[in-house]
Amino acid sequence: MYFYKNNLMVPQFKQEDLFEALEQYDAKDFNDFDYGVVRMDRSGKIRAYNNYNSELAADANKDVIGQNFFTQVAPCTNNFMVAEKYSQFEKELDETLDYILTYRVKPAPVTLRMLAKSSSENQYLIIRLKN
Amino acid sequence: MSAKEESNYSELVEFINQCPIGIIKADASGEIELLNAIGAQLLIPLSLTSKVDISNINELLKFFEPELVEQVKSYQPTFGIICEDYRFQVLCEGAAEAQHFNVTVNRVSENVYQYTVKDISAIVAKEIELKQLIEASAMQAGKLEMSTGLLHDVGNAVTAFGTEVAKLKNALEWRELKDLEKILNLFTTNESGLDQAMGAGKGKALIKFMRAVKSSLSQKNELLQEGSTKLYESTSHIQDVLNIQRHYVKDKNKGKRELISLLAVLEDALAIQAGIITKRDIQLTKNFDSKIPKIEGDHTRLIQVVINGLKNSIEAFDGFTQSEERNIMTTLKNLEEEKLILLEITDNAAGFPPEMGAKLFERGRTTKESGTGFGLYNCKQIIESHHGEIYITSPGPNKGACLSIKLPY
Repeated sequence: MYFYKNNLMVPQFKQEDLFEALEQYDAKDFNDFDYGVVRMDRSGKIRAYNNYNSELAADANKDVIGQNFFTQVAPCTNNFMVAEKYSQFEKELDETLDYILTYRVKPAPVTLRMLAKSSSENQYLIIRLKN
Repeated sequence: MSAKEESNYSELVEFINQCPIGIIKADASGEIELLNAIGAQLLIPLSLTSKVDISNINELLKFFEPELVEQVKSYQPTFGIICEDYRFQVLCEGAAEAQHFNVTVNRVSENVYQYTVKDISAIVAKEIELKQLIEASAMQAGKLEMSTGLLHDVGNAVTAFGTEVAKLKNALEWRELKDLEKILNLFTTNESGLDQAMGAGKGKALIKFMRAVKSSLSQKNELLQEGSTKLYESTSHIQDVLNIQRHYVKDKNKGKRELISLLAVLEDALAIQAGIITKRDIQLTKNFDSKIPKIEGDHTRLIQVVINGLKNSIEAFDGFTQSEERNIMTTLKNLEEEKLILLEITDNAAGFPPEMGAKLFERGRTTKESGTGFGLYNCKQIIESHHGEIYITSPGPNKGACLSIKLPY
């Protein structure tokens, strides 16, 4: 289920206990992951945003920590398919869907995995480029 | 790209992504080359619902609005707006409510098409609300117009009816009963003569018969008088109610007021009440300033107020026997410093306790046995709608009263 990178045990995109696994990591650890990780608080404010995301959006120099992911960083996800899922779940959210991101005004087909639990202050959006 | 160019480009992209409208660049076939964040935000649900890939906007829109796509494809010029503010609605899979979209398609060059897409669901909801409000308002206006017409027609009918009732009331003062009384007295005085002419005892019998006829006629006359008085009072009440309703309806249809003369208003009201004033032996005096400025107002409604004031004074003399002379004084003064016209109607009739003055303007209040309490309340509404003031004072019972009206000019 895990693979190792730079002596760090990295959970797989599709693993079942991914939420619990992500909770164990510091923000800087996410930079070794081979998929995008956005850790947010329950209002959508970014707490961690890894290099994969920065490269995808080509905004490596930009500090997005503290900004709202859905309204400021990725407004293309601010709809009932993504953002509203986080405000409407009851105990647990774990959904995967195909999506298009527009970080650089070019359509980028991705797979999103949305993760949240009512017991945690954190919620996650996991992103992987298709193909 | 240099670092500065890269920085400028990132700034531009971020700026475009914050645009609240979806902007899509596509080629002639509809293949999407660029789209901003809101463009993706709006189109992805359409793709999910239609199961059409988002990579081609024409294929995507064709699922919902084939007419729009036909318009785009058949547009011949290489530059220009193909369609503007094209509206359509979609219930997207997973959405709670239908979304309303507004699309504009602009052909920028031969192979570059610009689509702008906006979610106008909130605007459409407001339009529906506004339409409902307009419809309700139109219905209300229609009802108001109907009410105005009805009040006018009913008012005319009641006025005509009231006139006939007034005539009937006057006609029931049978002078013939007094003549019959005179004949009866004559026969009683000459009873013996009747006996001689008609036979012993016949005079007495005739007198007795005539007395019975007179008594019966008197009773019937009393019943008729009572009935006609009640009719008269009911008619007056109906007229008061109609006046109040007319007042409120006219308030809603308020138009521009004209310049009117309060002197003319007072003179007209006095002319209308002249007959009753004379009939009740009331002495009328006029105390008018020589120059009375005109005011902005409604001549008809102000006459109603003055007539009501005069009527109250006239009726205050009914059953009041303590004054030797019945006097009503009408006053019209220009209070120059305050820029007000003062109109007063003063009588020396029954009066009322001083503390009752303000209460008489409350709806339903009256000092008259047969009063409705609508008159002074209605007058207050009319005067206040003219930005004026009305009050009534009395030094006490049996000491008369004074109705005062102040109106600005």
